[in-house]
Amino acid sequence: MRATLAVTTALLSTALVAWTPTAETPDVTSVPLDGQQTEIRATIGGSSGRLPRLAVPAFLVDGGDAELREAATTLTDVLWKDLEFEREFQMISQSGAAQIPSAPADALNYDSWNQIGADDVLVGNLLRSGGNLQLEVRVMNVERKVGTFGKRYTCSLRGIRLCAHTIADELHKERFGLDGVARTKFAFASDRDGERMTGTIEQRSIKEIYIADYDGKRASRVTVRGSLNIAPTWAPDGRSIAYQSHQSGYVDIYVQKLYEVQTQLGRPAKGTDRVQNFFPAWSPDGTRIAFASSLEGNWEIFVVKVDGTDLRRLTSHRSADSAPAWSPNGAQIAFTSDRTGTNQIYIMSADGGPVTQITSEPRKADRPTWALDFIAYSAEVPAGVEIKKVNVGTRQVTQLTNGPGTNESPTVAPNGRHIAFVTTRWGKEQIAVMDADGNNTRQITFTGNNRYPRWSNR
Amino acid sequence: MSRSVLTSILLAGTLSLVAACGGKTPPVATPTPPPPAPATPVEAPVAQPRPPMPPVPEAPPIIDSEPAVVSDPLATMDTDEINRRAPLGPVFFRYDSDTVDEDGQRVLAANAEILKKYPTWAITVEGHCDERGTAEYNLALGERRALAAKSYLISLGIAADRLRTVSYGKEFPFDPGKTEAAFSQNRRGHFVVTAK
Repeated sequence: MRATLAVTTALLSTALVAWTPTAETPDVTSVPLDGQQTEIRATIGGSSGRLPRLAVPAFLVDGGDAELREAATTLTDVLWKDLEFEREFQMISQSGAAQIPSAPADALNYDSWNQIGADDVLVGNLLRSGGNLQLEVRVMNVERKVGTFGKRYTCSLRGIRLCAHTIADELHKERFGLDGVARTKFAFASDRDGERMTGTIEQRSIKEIYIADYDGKRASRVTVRGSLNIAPTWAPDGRSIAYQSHQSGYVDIYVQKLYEVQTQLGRPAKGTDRVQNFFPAWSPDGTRIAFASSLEGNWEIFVVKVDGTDLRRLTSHRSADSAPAWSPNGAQIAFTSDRTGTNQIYIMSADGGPVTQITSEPRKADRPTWALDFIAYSAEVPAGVEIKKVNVGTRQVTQLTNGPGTNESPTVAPNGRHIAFVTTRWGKEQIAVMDADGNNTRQITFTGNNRYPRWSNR
Repeated sequence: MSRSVLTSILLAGTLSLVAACGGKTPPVATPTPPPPAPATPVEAPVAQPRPPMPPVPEAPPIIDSEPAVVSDPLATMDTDEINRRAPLGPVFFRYDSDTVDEDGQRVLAANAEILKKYPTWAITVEGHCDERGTAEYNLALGERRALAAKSYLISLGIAADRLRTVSYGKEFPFDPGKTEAAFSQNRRGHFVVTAK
């Protein structure tokens, strides 16, 4: 019996190297265009305090083969959605913008744009440049007839969506000083490939870790373990993830680089007959991973360096402590505990010590995620589970979802403006994104069951 | 209801497998602390509050090192075949509970007899939950259920090193339905023979 277990474990271990790193999209580079003003943020935009109305007409294509035209259409569509997402512009519909023929920036029909209410027009001009694409983007102010943003982007055809995301982030940054999230990503667990779990006679679909752009597109699978793999967490540089795997028969925490070949994955928390490890959370400074573990009996919160050294226990209570989440500055950790009889959310110093109860849910609170001055969490209600947030300072609670279906596992965008969560409102478990005030919910996964979304830090 | 459950009911014969649902809310949420392990796996447990013993369906436990009788089909099967027969019945739990109730105790007593009959078997106890509540909470609850079943088997004289536990929370429901009947099937300790 012992020999059988050992052989099985060895076989599983060698299987670790059999995965291929995710192909990394080539970088998008940008340079300012000559003669562009960039420091006129305060003087432009809509009058009377309303959002500036922005039109994004179809990009001009020089030399216009079908592939280039398709790329231009994708660029325009993706950029429009990226810019709409942060709600700093009031976006003029693409059908509305299509009423006015596209024209270069120096030949814009300002009267026509003025008539349909545009304050600004984003003009793009796409051409081939060697094996790459070159895109000139200008934002022209309709009233003053001047450019307010101008950059030349070098993109790859394969990275066309990243090109649009980069433009959106740079425009948001220059125009509003806003850190947009168009280039951020999700990690999540999914059974979308429908592969059956081995080593059991039951019909079970494995769950593997996937990453995708913030809009759910360009999803790619990053683990090939043939087991239950859940609860991913991002390294702050966005180039590695840690996650919880049940593959060994115990529950281990693995660390995996996304874009490099590794012969051996990191395993900073290793399961044994008596020890199970759950819910890794990577520290904002990148050095440590907090997790829940039965290392000393019941579940407590531990931190360990990413390389597996310097293990420290942060909580010590006979009740179960679980689901740690770092504060944005890394000084504190939120977690769940049932020490008062029901699961509630507590915070403590990242070194442990006294704890402070943050929620007083009538039923249970779970899965805290901390951004800016609030903690979003899952709250059990009579009809199921809903997303709430609590202001850490004032303890004011706001319920953000109210059905349909059950809504849980929140994760907050790094700029604090959006919350992704898992919902059953569309049948299976899908990931949805809403604004941090609960508005503008949209679906971003569509195949399989998708759980444990985690928004990347950058 | 899954095929394995049906099979286990057929096999267990005299066992009464009742999906325990409803009833009072259990006051205790912590797993039963395991009693001191017996000195040897074959030694009878002492001074344990034994549940009512169901009739043992087969011969008394074989406790020497001789191979089991050749006419015993389980003795010659590989573990997948054994698990398809599901000789170890599942233990069902009430909603949000990790307490092994009387029905569960009867199932575990029968399972313990089978494990004594096949002393080389190693098993994994899987803890499962219905879909209500958060995924995170259910992983903890599933672990408590698996540990509760394991502790009870240890109290019946099964060596701890034959018993692994794993929680699958609400990740692998046995019945995907949204009814209480489905939920009651999914709140269980599920036994898998991993080595023989």
